Amino acid sequence: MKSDEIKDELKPINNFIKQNKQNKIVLVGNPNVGKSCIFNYLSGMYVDVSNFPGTTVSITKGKYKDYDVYDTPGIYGVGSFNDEEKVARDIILDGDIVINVVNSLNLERDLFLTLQLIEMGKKVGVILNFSDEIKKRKIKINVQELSKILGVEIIETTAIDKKGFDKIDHLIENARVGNQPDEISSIIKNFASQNIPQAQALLILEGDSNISSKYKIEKIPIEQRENIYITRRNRVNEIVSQIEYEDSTKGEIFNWLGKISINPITGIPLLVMILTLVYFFIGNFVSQKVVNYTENKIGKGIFEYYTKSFISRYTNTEILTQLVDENKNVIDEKLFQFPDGSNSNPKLKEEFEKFSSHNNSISNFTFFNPYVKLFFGEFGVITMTITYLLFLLFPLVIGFYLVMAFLEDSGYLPRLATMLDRAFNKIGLNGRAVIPIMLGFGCITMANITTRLLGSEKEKSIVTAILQFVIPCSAQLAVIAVLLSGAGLKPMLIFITVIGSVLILLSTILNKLLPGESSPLLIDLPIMRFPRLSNIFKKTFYRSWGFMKEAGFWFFIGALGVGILDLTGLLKLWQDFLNPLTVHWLKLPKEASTAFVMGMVRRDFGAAGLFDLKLSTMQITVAIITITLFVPCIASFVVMLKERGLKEGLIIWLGTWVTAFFIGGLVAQIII
Amino acid sequence: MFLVNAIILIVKEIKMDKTLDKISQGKFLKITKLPTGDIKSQLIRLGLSEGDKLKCTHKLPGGTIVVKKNRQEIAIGFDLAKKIKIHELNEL
Ligand SMILES: Nc1nc2c(ncn2[C@@H]2O[C@H](COP(=O)(O)OP(=O)(O)OP(=O)(O)O)[C@@H](O)[C@H]2O)c(=O)[nH]1
Ligand SMILES: [Mg+2]
Repeated sequence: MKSDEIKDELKPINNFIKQNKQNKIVLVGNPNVGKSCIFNYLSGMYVDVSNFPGTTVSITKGKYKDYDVYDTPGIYGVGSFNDEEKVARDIILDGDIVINVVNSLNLERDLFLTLQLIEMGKKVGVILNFSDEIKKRKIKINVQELSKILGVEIIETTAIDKKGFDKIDHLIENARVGNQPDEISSIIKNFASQNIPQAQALLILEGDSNISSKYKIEKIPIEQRENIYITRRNRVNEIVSQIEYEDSTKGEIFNWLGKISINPITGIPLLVMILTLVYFFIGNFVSQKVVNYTENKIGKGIFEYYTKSFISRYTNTEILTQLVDENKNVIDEKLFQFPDGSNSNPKLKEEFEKFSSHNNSISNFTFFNPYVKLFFGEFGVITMTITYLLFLLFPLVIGFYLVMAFLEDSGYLPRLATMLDRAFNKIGLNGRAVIPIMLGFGCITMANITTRLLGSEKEKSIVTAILQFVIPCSAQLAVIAVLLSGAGLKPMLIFITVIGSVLILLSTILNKLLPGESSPLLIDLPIMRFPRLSNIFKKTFYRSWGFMKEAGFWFFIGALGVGILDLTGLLKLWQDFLNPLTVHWLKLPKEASTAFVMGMVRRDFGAAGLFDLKLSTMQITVAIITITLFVPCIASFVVMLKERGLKEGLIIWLGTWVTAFFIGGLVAQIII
Repeated sequence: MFLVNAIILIVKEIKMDKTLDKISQGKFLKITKLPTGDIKSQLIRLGLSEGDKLKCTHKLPGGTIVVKKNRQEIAIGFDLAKKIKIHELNEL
């Protein structure tokens, strides 16, 4: 036998071994029970962990030892009520071992899914998470008894402290098929003869039409599912009454904050207070103190100065150095000219270095070689990308991410959703829409994906449109904060009023135009608590890192593109072309149209084109309104197309062009 | 006299039977009938089924209701609350 043939001979055996190696672990559980926390520990990867139901909306695959581990969206039962559920259902059907994460505080809710997983005949291991909370509340759970009733292995953990994780290996190795209730097993036997696995059989019985059509079985009437559900629910309630004891009903520390955040009478002042705090933190502290230091001292004073001085040694350069006092009045200035680069004129070079080494000196470099300009000039690929991105946007974006992480982790968002529910009803949404919209202030791209947690297609369309049209992301808010810093309250109020009106108008129109129903609010309120600082910093770190990678790339490409447009004269053509729009309608200088090319790449990048234009306060107001309403960045455009389809995506994209210029101009005609 | 008493009792009973949106904050209730369709299954999974006893912890001006079952708090929109039949209780 040749070796090839031997390989062929072995193939079936290899396949057999492969198939029999049970290596797919699926983490399954109700929303907000700590699955992602556990997934991060097992896989060593990072997925978001937040305190609201619906953080995870897609599957993430990781590795743990020899196993593939999957993090899944939270579900209350296996079925096909919405898209996340279908995704989760398929991976559960496909998995070898199901690790069911349970919130010990809500056994009555969570065990419904546990029983269903067991009835599906899956190999199950149960993690009772949140054991810190039940200890705090003096609740006792008889784990042994529960394990006996269910017929599966159970461990207790506190995921945020990684407590009890040493027993996870034991749990995985001992995952097994649990006790089957008699009613179910007798019905399911009928299916076995038709070669339908137990898990699929149960779902067919529960009326899952996706599965039944796959096996060409007629859909079973809904009453059947209700019967199974009610039976299961009763069993859960009975089990819980057997194994849980509560010694006292105290211990809800953050409860009062949770209470006042729901009721509008106290909740609205609280919201205003939170926003004011955020305003002072970002608008005052970060955008003025921190950015002033990083941008001017580090970015311009050190990074750009040294890079440009270095370049000026070799190429035709003009340097204007000014000395200023505390009030930015120019005390002294000198112009240094190096037609052949400063290396060819060591004496003048020395003089320049001495003059510019004064504490309050500002040096302006003008290069004449177009390629040097492309990389090191005002919009230079290298100088601008690094100064704007690293020293201006980055500190602000970190600030916003910190605030977002804080809100996400406190349990505030679902309560805000409840408080605003009725208001959202007026525009065809329910309170849940607060969650993707709030996340949009962090990153629109991410928020586009989170729209999956909304109940109907109509709601998803409306929120997706709101996100692309009116919600500024953190990077863009950063730019706005910088542009508006020191401009007083008036532009800010105009900005908020205009954007707010567009929001209301847009969603009202969409609500009227779009067919279909909206779903009513139905949301679990998680416990309110002081966020874990470690989680906040970790999340901020990962998101900031993600931002740098993504924005860095696009800034670089964008700057290169604009630079080339400039070199080839196309930029001037574009400016002339948009001239009537920019100059007459928006009343901005004609160079502002550069911002609209750049804005197609990223909105924050677009706004960066406005920095050096010397605009009046009202012009700034018009500019930021236009840029905010302008097209979403490339990344969110792509994600939106994926989530909502080509047609809807393109309509929204084109719509933002029209709205941005129409509204921007309208405001310009009134206030300038 | 007996008849009058009986009628008062019946009226009281009827007054106790209502939909969830009519409950006032802080009151206790028992779910008597859930709306039909998919939403019923969803409610059962979430832990709300017919016969369950709850407390209404919040009733917001617009009609959004928050109920509490054991330690679990669930917010329910006005349109859904209108479709859930309940019986008001004096205590849990
Ligand atoms: N007190 C306490 N909090 C926990 C524990 N485990 C997780 N949490 C918190 O519970 C929240 C939810 O955690 P996640 O890991 O995002 O939950 P998830 O199950 O992935 O949630 P979804 O993705 O929304 O389904 C976070 O705020 C965690 O910090 C625990 O053992 N004790
Ligand atoms: Mg998760």
